Amino acid sequence: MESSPLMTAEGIYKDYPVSRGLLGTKAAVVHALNGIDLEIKRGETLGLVGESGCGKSTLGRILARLENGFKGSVTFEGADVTTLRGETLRAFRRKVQVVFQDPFSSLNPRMKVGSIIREPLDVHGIGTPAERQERLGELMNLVGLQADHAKRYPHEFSGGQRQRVGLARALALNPALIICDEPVSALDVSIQAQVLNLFLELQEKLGLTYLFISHDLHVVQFISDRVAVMYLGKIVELASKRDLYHSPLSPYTKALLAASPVPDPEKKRPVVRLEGDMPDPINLPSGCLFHPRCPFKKEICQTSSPALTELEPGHYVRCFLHSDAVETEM
Amino acid sequence: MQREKPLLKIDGLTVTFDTSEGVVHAVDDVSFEIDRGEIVGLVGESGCGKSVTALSILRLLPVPPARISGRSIRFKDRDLLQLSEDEMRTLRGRSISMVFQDPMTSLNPVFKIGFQIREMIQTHFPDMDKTAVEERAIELLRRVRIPSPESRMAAYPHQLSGGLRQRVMIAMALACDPELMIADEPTTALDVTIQAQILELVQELQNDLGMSVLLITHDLGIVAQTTQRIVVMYAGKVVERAETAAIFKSPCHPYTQGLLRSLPGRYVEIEGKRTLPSIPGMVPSLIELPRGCSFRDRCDQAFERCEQAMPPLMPCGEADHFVRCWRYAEKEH
Repeated sequence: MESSPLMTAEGIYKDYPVSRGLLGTKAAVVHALNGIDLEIKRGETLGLVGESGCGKSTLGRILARLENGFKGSVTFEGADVTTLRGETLRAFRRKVQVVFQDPFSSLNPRMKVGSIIREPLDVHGIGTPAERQERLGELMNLVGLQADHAKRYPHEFSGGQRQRVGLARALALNPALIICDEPVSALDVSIQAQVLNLFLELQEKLGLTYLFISHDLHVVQFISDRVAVMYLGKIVELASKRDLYHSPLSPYTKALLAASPVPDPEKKRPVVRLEGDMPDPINLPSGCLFHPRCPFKKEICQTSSPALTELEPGHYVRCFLHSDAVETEM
Repeated sequence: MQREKPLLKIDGLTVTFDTSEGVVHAVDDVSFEIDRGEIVGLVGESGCGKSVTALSILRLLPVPPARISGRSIRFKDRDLLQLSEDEMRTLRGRSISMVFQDPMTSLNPVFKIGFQIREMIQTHFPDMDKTAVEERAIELLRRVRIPSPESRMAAYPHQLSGGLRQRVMIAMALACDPELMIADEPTTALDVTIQAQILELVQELQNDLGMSVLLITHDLGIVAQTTQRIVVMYAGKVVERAETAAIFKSPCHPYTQGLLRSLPGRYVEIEGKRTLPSIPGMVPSLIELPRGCSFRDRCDQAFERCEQAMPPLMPCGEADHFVRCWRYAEKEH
């Protein structure tokens, strides 16, 4: 069954101006996103992985319409939401919510947990005060918090509980899509497992769609249905979880998988060693953005940029080793 | 097999902190050994006492509020707990060096890399002449595979990437050919591809130089791939200690078992059901530890005896495999 996409992003480019030099007069531009096309299907968990600075969080923020000044278009439930403002943007926010990484800095320390969770209902003026209070009880129950937790402050909670609070708040308005930006990265493993299970449970119960952003390949493998790999503001590979982890095609995906330490001393990963660091997104390399670190680069990789190509049904890769398709410049 | 005398032998280390809320029992009766030329992993979740253990070895904790007691921390023939502050100072960086998690806060931002490495060498070898110091500094940068080391000497820390900064920290830790390097979460701030490079470097250096490494991390993937032996800590105590292969193949402590099961990287999907086995509850407060075994509230195998007293470390299974769990005492009788 092929369901219609819940959200579609087309040709997303995002630059951030930065000032450089002693007096901050030399202007430079960080090229954070360099042409992203992405579809999020209804009811799926789409994993988004990549190393720091690859633009995965920026993309999440753009899709949640928390950033302005980007090129390209975002469609949600068939409607263009790229330029929404005012009341229509508020309506969109009810449908798309965000859970952030650090539950220590994303919750207001001076508000009681009950008020934090109820705030979206208050802001959007949903229901009577009594109904909101009842909904608060439901939400807390849903994420595994006890009713008496509502009267406490965030600092009285552990990291795992705080992430439950963030999740309850995100769920308050019955969203269709939750953009999760590294939601378990700050948690210890034993707590991380509890929170990951909660994400799955809620998805099943409420029919949620997740965009799950993480640098942890094992976590993404566990939670996702499909996975997109980003490098320097572009998607380099996109496939079903199975295809991506069992038969990766892009040399970057292969290197990423090989570098991710397996918690089993008997399984040694094949060594795909990457030299050097990720290039500066201010001065992007020519041709394929990955070519300076790629152990398999060919001549064409230095001059032309490969297009994201569907090699097998649902398996997209951006690499001249697998397809000659050149990306058309926008 | 006759085992050589260990390089470092920690015996009954106990560290408490006096705080306004009460006495925090950060480390309680921790004992383990590090042999010459091996990499030992010290693992556990945040607050389990692994970093405090490391800092105690070098006596880097502020006393007070910290109070260190314990039978001994024997490094070769000396007991580090008995040394004077002067003796400790010559030992730090010279015989035992340390690499911290965040190289940005460990390097001085206003001095060039070259200056900081030269300072490290000159402190411990005051008689070395200037050109020799310079050569040694460049040689160290080359050894940790920093490209064009001569020109990097003139760089400030902010001009280097996180991976390169951590290489500089390792270079400084190697400056005096230490016998033991303590690395506290050395790759936690780094991306996986850079982490892989750094871990490979540590293994290679350990191999080439024959030094010992105490690798402190919360990441079980890292210890699986780099260490020979593992010490698992929970709520300030060593709960299990064994060879790396044994820990992963047949973990004895219910905590270690639960931890391994809860790793997404070890998860095997069963058709139609996707739940990660998790450990219920959370780590107890180190101020008011429950009576008996500190893991019993979260343990699915706890029984009466676990409430009565904290079990000692006892052998289980193969040689050199120790566990702090009453279930193994039962089996002996």
